[in-house]
Amino acid sequence: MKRFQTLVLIAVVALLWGLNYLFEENLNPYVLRVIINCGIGMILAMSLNLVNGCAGQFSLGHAGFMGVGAYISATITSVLNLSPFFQTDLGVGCAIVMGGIVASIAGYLVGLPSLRLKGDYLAIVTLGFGEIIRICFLNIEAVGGARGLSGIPPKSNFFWVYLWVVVTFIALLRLLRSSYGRAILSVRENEIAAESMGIDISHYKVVAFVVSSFFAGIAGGLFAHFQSFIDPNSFVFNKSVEAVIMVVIGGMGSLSGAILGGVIVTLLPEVLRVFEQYRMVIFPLILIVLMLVRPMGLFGHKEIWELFRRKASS
Amino acid sequence: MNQAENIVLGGDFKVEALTISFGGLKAVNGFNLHLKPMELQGLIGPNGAGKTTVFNLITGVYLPDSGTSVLDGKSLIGLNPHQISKAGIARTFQNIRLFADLTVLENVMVSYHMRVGYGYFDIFLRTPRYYRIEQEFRDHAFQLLKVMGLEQRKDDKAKSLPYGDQRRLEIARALATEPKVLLLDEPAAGLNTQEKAALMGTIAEIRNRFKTTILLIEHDMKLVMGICEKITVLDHGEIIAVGTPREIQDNPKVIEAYLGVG
Amino acid sequence: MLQAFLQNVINGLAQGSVYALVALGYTMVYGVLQFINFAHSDIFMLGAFGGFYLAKWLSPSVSNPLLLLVSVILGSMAFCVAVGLTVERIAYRPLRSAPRLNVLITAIGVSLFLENLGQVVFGADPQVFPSLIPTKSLLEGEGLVLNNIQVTVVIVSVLLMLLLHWIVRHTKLGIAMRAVSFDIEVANLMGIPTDTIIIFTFTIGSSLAGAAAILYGLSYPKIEPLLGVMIGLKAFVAAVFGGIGNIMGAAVGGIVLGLAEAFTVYYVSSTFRDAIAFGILILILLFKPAGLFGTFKREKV
Repeated sequence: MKRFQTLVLIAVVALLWGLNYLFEENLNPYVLRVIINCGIGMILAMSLNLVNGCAGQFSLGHAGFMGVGAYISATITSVLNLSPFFQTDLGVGCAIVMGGIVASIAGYLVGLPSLRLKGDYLAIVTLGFGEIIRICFLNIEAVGGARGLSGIPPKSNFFWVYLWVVVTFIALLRLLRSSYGRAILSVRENEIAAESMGIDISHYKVVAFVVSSFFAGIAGGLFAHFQSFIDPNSFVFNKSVEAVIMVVIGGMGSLSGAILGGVIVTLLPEVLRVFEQYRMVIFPLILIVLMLVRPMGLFGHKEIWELFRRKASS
Repeated sequence: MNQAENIVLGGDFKVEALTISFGGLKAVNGFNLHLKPMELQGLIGPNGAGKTTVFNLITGVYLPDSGTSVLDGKSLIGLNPHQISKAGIARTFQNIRLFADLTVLENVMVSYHMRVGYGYFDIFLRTPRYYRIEQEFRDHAFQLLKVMGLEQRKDDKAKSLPYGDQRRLEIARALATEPKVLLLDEPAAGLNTQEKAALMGTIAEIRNRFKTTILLIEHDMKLVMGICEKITVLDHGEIIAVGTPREIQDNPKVIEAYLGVG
Repeated sequence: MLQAFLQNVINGLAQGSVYALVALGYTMVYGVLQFINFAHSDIFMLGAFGGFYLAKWLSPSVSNPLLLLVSVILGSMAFCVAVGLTVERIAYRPLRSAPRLNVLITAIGVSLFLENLGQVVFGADPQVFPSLIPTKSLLEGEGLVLNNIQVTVVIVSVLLMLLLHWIVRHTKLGIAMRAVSFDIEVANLMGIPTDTIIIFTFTIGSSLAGAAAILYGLSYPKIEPLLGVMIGLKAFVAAVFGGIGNIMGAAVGGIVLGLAEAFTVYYVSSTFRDAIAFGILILILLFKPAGLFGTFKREKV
């Protein structure tokens, strides 16, 4: 079993490498850009899914963690002149991981005081924190302030981004399948019952925040090293809303749903480009209609492979 | 850790003078109870008497204004519900609180989490230890489901279960925490006569097989009289009688509290 | 020294009154429906624009400034009520029994929709709100400025809040509203037409926002489609500060926030103006999440 899994993993990595070469040589650069952006969206959606969908905690500040990952990793690779190592693929990768780690620390700091808050209150606090993080970056001249940070080594190609997509997916899937995952899910399902069965719900809410902000930070780092330029405007409240929409469309609690949601939300502005300025009017309208008509999203709590299983006897 | 063999001896549990007020109203006043190891006791009283509030006080959902609560010599006052659960007190809920979207098996497996022997490293790398412990959890949970007659439906979502089975699942889940003391809050509510009779048998079996101390809240007098060794009667937050089923049945204060019912 | 202090008090009260009026809308809707109407701030924005266009249309024909002002205020209130009730009917009512999260997301959707629609319809550039009543300095001396705009703002706000207080305390509708806030299911069982009460709540909230918008336009003539964002956030903080769901709390919260901002801008620095609201929010949520006058509802176990 273990050997099979390892083989599959190697095959996937090889496939990604091959596709990367293929795409870079033959694919329209615009299309490639969109595909890579989809990948970043997938990671963002999967990470938020852990907090909003699996732990049932409504976080509206996810863009902030993405921003932390972006700025920290970009600072390492382009602001602090540390060593040429950080201009290489591996170095950038390390910087991105460090960005993720700092983002997870931010997640811890945000998660901790938010524990006692429910629903709407939590949403507002996380929104506030997201804004505060953004305002901080706006005021730090060393990373460009309002002008933003440019000249970031553009190392995020198809291979690296989608490798991280695979890593994120596997990590989160394994977490959710484990006892720790069940603990997190029980928090969503019924906090009081979970506590009565020995689950420290506060602890697991924080765990959800920390893990999810780590991957949001990764998404941010990949984003920074893809665009080659970031500014505080990339991480406004609207970005958090985008992330929420990704999770909602796919189905809260579903990893495969989050992936699909990430693709759809990234593609939607491209598809709607036809409508020019009405794009941002139609977008929220779609969201409203979605909530009225199919609030459980595409997959609800289920994963795509569970939809094909025979229905449980009722 | 096999539930059937490695027995956790039912605990000695004592509360004294538990009191709590909500907005000026004394919901529970000076409640006393002593559960000896493996005793099966009942807590009865008319609606609104404060029975579930007592459970909530014992399990840490509410913090009492005053009083003591001691399990095998350890004070439980001020502890969080999850700490009290780890100390050895488990409960079911009057309004079913299952993990609706998790499967039957997963519902039970959640209770094993406090004994999980692996960490994040094992999870992400899927070490042999991870597989071994997960299999253990699955096996134990399955055994428990068999005791409660739910093993056939182990992969069904909890919300898809018929009402009677949901109540049994609640009990199974609570048992999975390997408690010294089990609190059952109206486990027979909504069950038909057949199901109630079966439940009576199950509760007695649980006590004998798992050597648990049990405290039962119930409305159904037959159930209570049938299996409880000692009964405490609550009315308006205060104890009005304590005794054997026979004594309680003939107690005029109890009869009055129920207005002739019971 | 003293005049600086007094000046800040005046400025703070004027600004705070606007916050209070908007905060009341948030708090009342939260009281009856237990959800944060994210779109409320955008209704405020629409009131400002509605008033803008109405004023432009009316001012050639109406010469009496007081009459003009009252008409514009009433017109804005009516417009806001129309928008508010439409939103309630289409987007919120169908989700009455849905999980809170869904309604919250819908509210965010409505908010974004209105903001972007506003940008398309009104153009993203700021417009200048016409001065409906000529600014007159009422008091001047040693750096202290008290003008009629500020007085108007405070007086109108106080009048509206008194009116609200009377409605809530002394009319059947007000009592019904409080009953629904307390427990909607029980109110329903007691025969209170909850749908009607909710409509009533939205009506009051939206009309107050409309009035606040005009008062805001008088004080700060620059209006733009994203106007609601900051004002809404601050009004929301004020509502939370006072205890969301609590009407007096919202009023007090608004005034306190206005004063806090005025004093911070003067005595500390103007860059921190917006940060004050966030700061208060975080502090209150950390230390007393129920707010000054609020109480948390216990979940039944």
